[in-house]
Amino acid sequence: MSLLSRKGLERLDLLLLVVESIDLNGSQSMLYLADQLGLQSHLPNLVEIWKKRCTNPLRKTNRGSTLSSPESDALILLICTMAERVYPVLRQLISSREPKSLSIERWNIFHDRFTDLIIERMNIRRAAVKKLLEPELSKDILYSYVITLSMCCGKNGYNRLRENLIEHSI
Amino acid sequence: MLNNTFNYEQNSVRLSITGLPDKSLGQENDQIGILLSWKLTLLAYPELEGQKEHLLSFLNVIYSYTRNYISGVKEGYGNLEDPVSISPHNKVHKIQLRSSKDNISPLSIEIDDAELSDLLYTFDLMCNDPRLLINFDISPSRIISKSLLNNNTRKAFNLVAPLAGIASLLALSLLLFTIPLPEPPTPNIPTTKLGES
Repeated sequence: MSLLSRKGLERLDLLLLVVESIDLNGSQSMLYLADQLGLQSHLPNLVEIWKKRCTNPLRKTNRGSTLSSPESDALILLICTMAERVYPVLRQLISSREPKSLSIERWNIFHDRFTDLIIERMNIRRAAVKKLLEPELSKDILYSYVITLSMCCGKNGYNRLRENLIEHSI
Repeated sequence: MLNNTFNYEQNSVRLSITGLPDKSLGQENDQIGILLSWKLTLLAYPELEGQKEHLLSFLNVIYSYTRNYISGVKEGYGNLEDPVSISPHNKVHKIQLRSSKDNISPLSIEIDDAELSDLLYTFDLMCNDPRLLINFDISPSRIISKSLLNNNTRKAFNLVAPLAGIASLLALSLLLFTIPLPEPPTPNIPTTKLGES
């Protein structure tokens, strides 16, 4: 049975994309962590991870399928663990105590990387993707994703993120 | 005395828990089953300390607030009678701590998103510590309803239609004021001079 609806699947994949925007070697980290977390049965290799992520309706290569409950749980756990790894960077991005110029520079680099990944992987004719490419609007959306990741890292974060994604699926 | 102290840290937050193992329940020497005191240090603020009830209130308020905050619902938690309350305040989160002693005014702390994340992470570390055998009685989080989720955005959208209506009415009224009124036609009454006929 599927846990997440269309909106939930979108959010799940975009959260992974945010992590990839921070961790330049994100896909390899995903594979390594999936192995460490014992998720080989659901995420055995990069192709399977890519297939699962292609359930996002905004993808260029959307498969029109959905995720089973254990599959989405595996991806949620992977996101939380990856968020924990990149927590220092997430924290820098949302901290108001950082020097303003440095903070802006960090955001610009992060935003550019995210935009590049969106153009590379998403169907840019979709209205939701166009919204992600609008500079001002996308920064607000991106900030909310960074907040979600920073507050959902670690063990308890798994439950918080799961509930958050289910909310978007109701 | 088998006093144990466990520390949990994440960047700007440090939490220290002191307590004893509950020997009546067969707990080990390196465990805490009875909480004696706790100390919380948030960067740039004085050290906070209190009893178990204060920590429980703190935990519940922070967990409930962040749970909503992640979903985009900016809603305060805790009221004036509670030892701890939190509310969104501009771009920061205002935490108010009230002492159980009289004549002590509440302490206000303002933390940003990064510090709130640190605080949450530290509480997670503490709650997941297998050596800490205290029932924190954290109220289970619930799925936020869609109406509440969209509340903030809907409020803004709800104002668009009436504001547009009022604006167009005013614009139309001003336009009508600028149009000159047609002068009433003067009646063409034939005048006759006396004695002409």
